[in-house]
Amino acid sequence: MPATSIDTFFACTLIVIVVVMSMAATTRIVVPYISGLQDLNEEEYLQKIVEHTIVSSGSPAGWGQNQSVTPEAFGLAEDGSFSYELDLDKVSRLNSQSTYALSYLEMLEALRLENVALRFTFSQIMDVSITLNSNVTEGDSTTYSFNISVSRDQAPVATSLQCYVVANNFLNDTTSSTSSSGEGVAEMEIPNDSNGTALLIVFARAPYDTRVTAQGVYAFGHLSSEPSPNTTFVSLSPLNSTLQVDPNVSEVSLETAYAFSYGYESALTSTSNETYTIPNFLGSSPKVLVVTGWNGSTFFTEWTTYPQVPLEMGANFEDAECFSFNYVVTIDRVFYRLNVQCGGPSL
Amino acid sequence: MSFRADQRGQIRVIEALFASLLILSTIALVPSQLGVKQTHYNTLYSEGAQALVSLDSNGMLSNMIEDSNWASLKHCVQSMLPVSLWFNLTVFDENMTCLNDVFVSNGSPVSEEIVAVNYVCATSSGNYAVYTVQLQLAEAS
Repeated sequence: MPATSIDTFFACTLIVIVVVMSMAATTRIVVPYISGLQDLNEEEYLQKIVEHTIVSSGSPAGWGQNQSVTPEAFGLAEDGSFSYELDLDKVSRLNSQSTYALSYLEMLEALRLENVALRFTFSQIMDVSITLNSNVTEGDSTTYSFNISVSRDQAPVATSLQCYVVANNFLNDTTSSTSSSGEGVAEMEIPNDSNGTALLIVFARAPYDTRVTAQGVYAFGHLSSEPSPNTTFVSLSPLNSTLQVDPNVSEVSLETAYAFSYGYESALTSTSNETYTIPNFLGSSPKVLVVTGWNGSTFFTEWTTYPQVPLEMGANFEDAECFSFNYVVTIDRVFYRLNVQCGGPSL
Repeated sequence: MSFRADQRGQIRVIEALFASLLILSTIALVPSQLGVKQTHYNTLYSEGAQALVSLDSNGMLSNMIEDSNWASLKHCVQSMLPVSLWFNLTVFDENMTCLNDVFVSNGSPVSEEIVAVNYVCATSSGNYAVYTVQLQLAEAS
């Protein structure tokens, strides 16, 4: 074979190899880029959907307040709001513990979307953690000392504290503060004849903005055994400034209901056997609603918040790929954090 | 193997193919980086814009600016943004004169990639002053 033919043969073979390699390499290079663009579009698309749910008020107007109404179009914003202000009743209706809660299916139908899954997680702007430090019984009363810690994303926050204690026929309040280390102490004295389940309710407020306010509740047994978990005896569902109390066990008799906020407290007026009117307090603060009563000879104290935050509602994205969007929203003049996890058609 | 003068074209073809391979491999790195940067920019921009809009509910942001309450403004912005984010806020009047005489910031930048969000707000008081708020954000890479 002449040398020219061998030359041509090798050159052609090399060209074919390089062309095939180029094609393979181009495919490998371009496919991830194209799918990356799709991801980018999908993220923007899902973000727009999420933003729509928190800046639109949905329909019919005021669907949150009316317990019998299921929204035709889903939107959590307060009617006529522009700046991520959410309606406290619409948010409360996402809480599965509420009697008036929307189901996930109802929410998806109102969103009018297919192949999109959502999960809403509302939490407070600050975390308030309470632990019982000590208790000393002297004479006819017992003094409790609580350690209170306030943080935001694990970073300590200096706050002013407003504390209330609710026990059997007993109500008291005090003020305290957390230092720059986020730690504070509250002491409460409770008469010994008010034995039974007691609640310490703490409101923490940042000194620079009243909208940065959060609450924490701690249940403890005052000269009695450990309290049962919350909502053992009654379910509390606040909506449209009315608290609905539904007994979970028979032989429950209700005694008193209270509403607390930073700086304000009030006994609730009963409008029927199981409903109470929630007053509108001045100032920016979440409300804690407390109901006391008896189950046979057991005194109970149970509570909920209004709006019913923290809450989680929607699809379960555990071990699943999804997009996550974070917002700071205002509900009833108080800041809350909202995380929305979103899964689209390709995820 | 021998190369004669009239067959040098083959080498040119091979050379061109290698060159195209080099170009393709370079291109391969560019779009993926662009995508990441775009997402990163969008996330930061969205967080910053949303924080300013929420902060300005009921005109609180403009009130703090009008009162020159820079310490409160710093704490407010800090509480709206994730702890891991660096921010620097600058307030300008309608003539683009900087109004804050102190740094409204939580430290020094944690990354060279800084996203700026501009937000215009007006006071609800009688003078109807208009301010431009520029919020710069960076995230540790």
